[in-house]
Amino acid sequence: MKKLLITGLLALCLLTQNLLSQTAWAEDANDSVPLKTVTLSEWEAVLKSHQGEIVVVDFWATWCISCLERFPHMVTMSERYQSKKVRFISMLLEDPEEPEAIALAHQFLNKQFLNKQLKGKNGLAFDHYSMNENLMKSFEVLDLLGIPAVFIYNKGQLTHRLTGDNPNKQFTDKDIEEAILALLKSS
Amino acid sequence: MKTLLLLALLAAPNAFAGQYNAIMNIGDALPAFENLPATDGSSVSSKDITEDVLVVVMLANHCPWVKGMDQDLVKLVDQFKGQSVRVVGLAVNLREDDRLPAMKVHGEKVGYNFTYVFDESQDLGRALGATRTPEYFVFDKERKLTYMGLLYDSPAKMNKSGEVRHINGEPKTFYAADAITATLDGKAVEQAETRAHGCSVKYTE
Repeated sequence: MKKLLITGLLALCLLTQNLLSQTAWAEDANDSVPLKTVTLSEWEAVLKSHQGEIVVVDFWATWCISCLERFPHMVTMSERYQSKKVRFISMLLEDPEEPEAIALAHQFLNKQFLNKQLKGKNGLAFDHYSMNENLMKSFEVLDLLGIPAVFIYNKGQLTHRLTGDNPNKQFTDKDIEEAILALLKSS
Repeated sequence: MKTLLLLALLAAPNAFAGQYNAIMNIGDALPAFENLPATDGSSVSSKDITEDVLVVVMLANHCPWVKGMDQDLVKLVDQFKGQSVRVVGLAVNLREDDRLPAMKVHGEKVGYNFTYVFDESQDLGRALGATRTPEYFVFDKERKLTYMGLLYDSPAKMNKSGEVRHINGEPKTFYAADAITATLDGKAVEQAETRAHGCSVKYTE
């Protein structure tokens, strides 16, 4: 009888612990930055859905140190232009067969937006997508040689393609801001 | 067709010299370089290289795509041992973990069996139009470019745990090796350009 009671108590403890950990996970999930997985054709639809806006797309990956270094600047920039209705979008380019890298990227995103009001779906100025395609195919279809790269769209048209494709014409944060300001001025 | 449509919507055309290179095109001459310090303590100049084929490989110690293919690069060098082929690894990134002291450590650790040089001026990287690591450039006896791009059709990345994974499974087409063989034979390289895949090279303004 005593043995049965101890077993019962242990089971209750384990169940409570499990429930507590599930609650903590759920809270984490609610606080997590949304990261939506898309195919290339879905990405096309995403861009089409923002045709009325200035859209700044930051291509990045956890294997790209320059991308990680640039990302906080993109967050700051997105805050600066939130009231101007400039939409920032990050496009994660990891190998879809490497879920641990995508999880790591998601952790990185969560850290970037910790205590930021930009987080969450309503009033979001920075959306986050992860490309669910073969990496080489993604680079080919997006016509990317390398990342970081920033593409800026206005009224559905690609107006600025900022890349490191030419060693003598590397882009900076200043180039991104100048492009946004030029588009804001012309609209 | 669908891919072409996507390309038109998502990207803009590039005004490049080569298909995937803003500066260099196939047939262009090797940019001369002088006294680049190597990890073995020597210094290397283009005029001193006498082999029939010169392969310049853009590398960066920190890059997971370099770490992923390191052993296959070592195998490539072994494959052409005894033939008139010289392989020179080139690093131009200026971050501490990509500079000469770190290059020495990395080269010894992974068993680099070729000359590994550092170009602090970044001039050679710029002149090659090299923007990614790893990226292969093959030159013939006259030092004209015969191939640039990937090692093979399935780039490999090393993850944080040190595991290597090829993104397209086991490589089937060995572009760089095929290019070296054709160049040694004095033949045109069948696929002279491929889209190199890896980390971006960081150039100063």
